[in-house]
Amino acid sequence: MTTLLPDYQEKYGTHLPEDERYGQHSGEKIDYQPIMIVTYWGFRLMIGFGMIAAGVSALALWLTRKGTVPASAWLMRGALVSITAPFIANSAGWIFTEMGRQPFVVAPNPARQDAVYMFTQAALSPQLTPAMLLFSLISLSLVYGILMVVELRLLIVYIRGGVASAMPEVTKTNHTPRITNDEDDVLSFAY
Amino acid sequence: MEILATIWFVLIIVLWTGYLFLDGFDLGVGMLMPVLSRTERQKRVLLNTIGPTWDGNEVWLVTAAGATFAAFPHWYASLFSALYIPLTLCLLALIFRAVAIEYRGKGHSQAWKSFWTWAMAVGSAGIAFFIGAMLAITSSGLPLNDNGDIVGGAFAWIGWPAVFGGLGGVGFALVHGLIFLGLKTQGDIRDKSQQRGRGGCCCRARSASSSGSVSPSPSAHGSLLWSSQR
Repeated sequence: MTTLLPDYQEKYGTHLPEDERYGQHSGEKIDYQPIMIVTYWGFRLMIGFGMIAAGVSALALWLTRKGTVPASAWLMRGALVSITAPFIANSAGWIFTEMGRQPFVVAPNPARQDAVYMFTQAALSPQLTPAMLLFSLISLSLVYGILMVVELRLLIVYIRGGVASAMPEVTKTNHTPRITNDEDDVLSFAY
Repeated sequence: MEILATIWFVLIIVLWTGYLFLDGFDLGVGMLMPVLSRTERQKRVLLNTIGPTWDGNEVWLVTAAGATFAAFPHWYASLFSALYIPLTLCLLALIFRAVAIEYRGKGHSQAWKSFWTWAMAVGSAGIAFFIGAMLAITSSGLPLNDNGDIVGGAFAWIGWPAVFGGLGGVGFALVHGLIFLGLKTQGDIRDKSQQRGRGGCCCRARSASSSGSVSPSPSAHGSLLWSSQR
């Protein structure tokens, strides 16, 4: 970092330009170092949980070879818990990449095409207040969080219930139901 | 360069018109669900008139916004950062409507069904209101400075164009939904919706001509539908 810093300061400036695009950030000192602890651990979490996900898949392939069905209850619980691994890896990877590219939104090309780069402060709309951003961030996170809980509960209900819970008309009779009355057609009321 | 910009502008108009044509009745039917239908079966009928196609119709909104982003990035940037709050509320309404359609049939208690019916109605009304407001604000003008940023704070867009545009959007969607139900259903719902649709069209045409250029596209559609009804 210490060897790159004077290089960057020379090529991209020590302070942001006094331009209207930067809004209230014009002329600010640029810190070329992103928050290292987040970058460092974000990468390791991403690769770690990614490999856990891959490892669990390989293990499952091995344990179910030749059509064997494993009987161990701990394996089943472990398999359910491992569903979270790719999601954690995905989130960690996104946090890593978005915080590691600061202060740029378009990082300068290491192959020396230095004319193409953009600072994050230029990409932000100057009139957006933190209050507005917080409002949208919190409201969308809240809505998605609540919907995730609802969806998980629905999933659990339907997985435990099996076919009978999702499609009662199939299990009511032994054969496919013959629709005599158009008003009760299952597909007409699919929603 | 000029011809390409013109072609893209016309394309964006086509996409917005297509969206209003197709999602107008989806939003209308959504808003009518707690009002027009009394029994559970009638509610299911309303939901299933739009069930197979609502998702594809909503995609026209995505393409219209995407085309605006691709062809006119400054317009997109100014519009959606100036109208940040109505856009966020519109997104929340879109989420509620979409989830309500999918989740309503998955639970079996009355509380579940009435909650998601309510969510669908409020979500559809929110979408219609904010899309109408945003279109009207685009037509009547936003206070922007040279850089394309809004002048006057986060709520500078609130004014009569926004309110009338929003109400126009809601009214348009309601009439469109009523006429659509008159075409798509049989029996009791069909009679009710045709009766209210005719009355709604007259009101819409009158209010559209009085509000004039405030909400150009909804009034155009209102008069188009009215003429097709005859």
